[in-house]
Amino acid sequence: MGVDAFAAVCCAIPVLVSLLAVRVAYVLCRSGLPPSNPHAVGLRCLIVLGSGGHTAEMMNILTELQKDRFTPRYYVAALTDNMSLQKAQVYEKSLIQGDREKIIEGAQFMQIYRSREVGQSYITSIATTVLAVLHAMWLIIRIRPQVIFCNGPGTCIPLCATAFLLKVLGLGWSSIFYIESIARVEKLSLSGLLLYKLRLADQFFVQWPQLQQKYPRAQYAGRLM
Amino acid sequence: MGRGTYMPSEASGNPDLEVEHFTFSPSIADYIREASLVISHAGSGSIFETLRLGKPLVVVVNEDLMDNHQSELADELAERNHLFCARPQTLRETVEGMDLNVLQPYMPGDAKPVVALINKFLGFPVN
Repeated sequence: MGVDAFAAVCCAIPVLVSLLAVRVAYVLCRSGLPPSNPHAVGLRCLIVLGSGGHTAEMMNILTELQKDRFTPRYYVAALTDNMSLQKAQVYEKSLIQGDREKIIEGAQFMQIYRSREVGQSYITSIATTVLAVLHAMWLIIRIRPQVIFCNGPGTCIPLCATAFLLKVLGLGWSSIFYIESIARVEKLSLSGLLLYKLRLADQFFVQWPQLQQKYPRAQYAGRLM
Repeated sequence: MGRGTYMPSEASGNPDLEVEHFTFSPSIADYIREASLVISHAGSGSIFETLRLGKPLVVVVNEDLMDNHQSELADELAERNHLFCARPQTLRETVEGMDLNVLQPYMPGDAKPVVALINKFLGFPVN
């Protein structure tokens, strides 16, 4: 009895691993291709905000997006970032005030644990990274975004990785759009490099032509600022 | 001064030089508008806010930041003559030696092309 069970497990593991590998390959191939059901109205959006320049650039994108196509909107910023969510709240309020006729689905604002604060020791960073990843998983599973917008802050990595994992497990499909910060002229940021190399983003934008030369799978469509 | 810890003194010792300082202002744009020269750290937000308002700008790069990413943007924009770039040690000579006539106005960027590509990818009709 014990031998049979053991044999079954020995057969099952390679099968499962192969299935997973096939599924990952499928997701990687499908990434960068438009989603299979276009013209969906009202895509659930996750917008990852970062301090300072990152938020300013993201707001420039948001003002151009057609709001009825990208709704409801969920904004996420790091716990220690005080300004970004405020800016997003001000913006969302201005939308409601501008259009009293329409009932707009309320935007939501959330904070996420950061993997590592500036100057934090690397030992404690391990624990905080694990916490950040678990928190990111929780947020993604709760929100199930169909679209993710991010532009550089490290907080986007656990979120995008979780979204990718859900794709692999067939539990949802998020189109991930990454727009590298305008401050990156010659080299990608660490977040950008990870998302580019691991092919986690469906579309990867850079804001300087030199970067597009170095990273040919990236798209250059001018600068945001 | 943002999140810095240095506190300059209110009195500059020079009766012709007025010094005012604050850590944060919700209306820094007003200060920029009134200025004839802006000297700033090389953060992208500060840079583009000043360039958008069309003011001459000297940026001072903070070389202690992780992988010195502030200097890439400052150097690129300085090469394109949109601003002057200095390090803390070279600020004085940069300001003394600069020729503002060399500066080219900066044409602000536009998020529309990126958003058009995003819409196209998602299968929305592009206007």
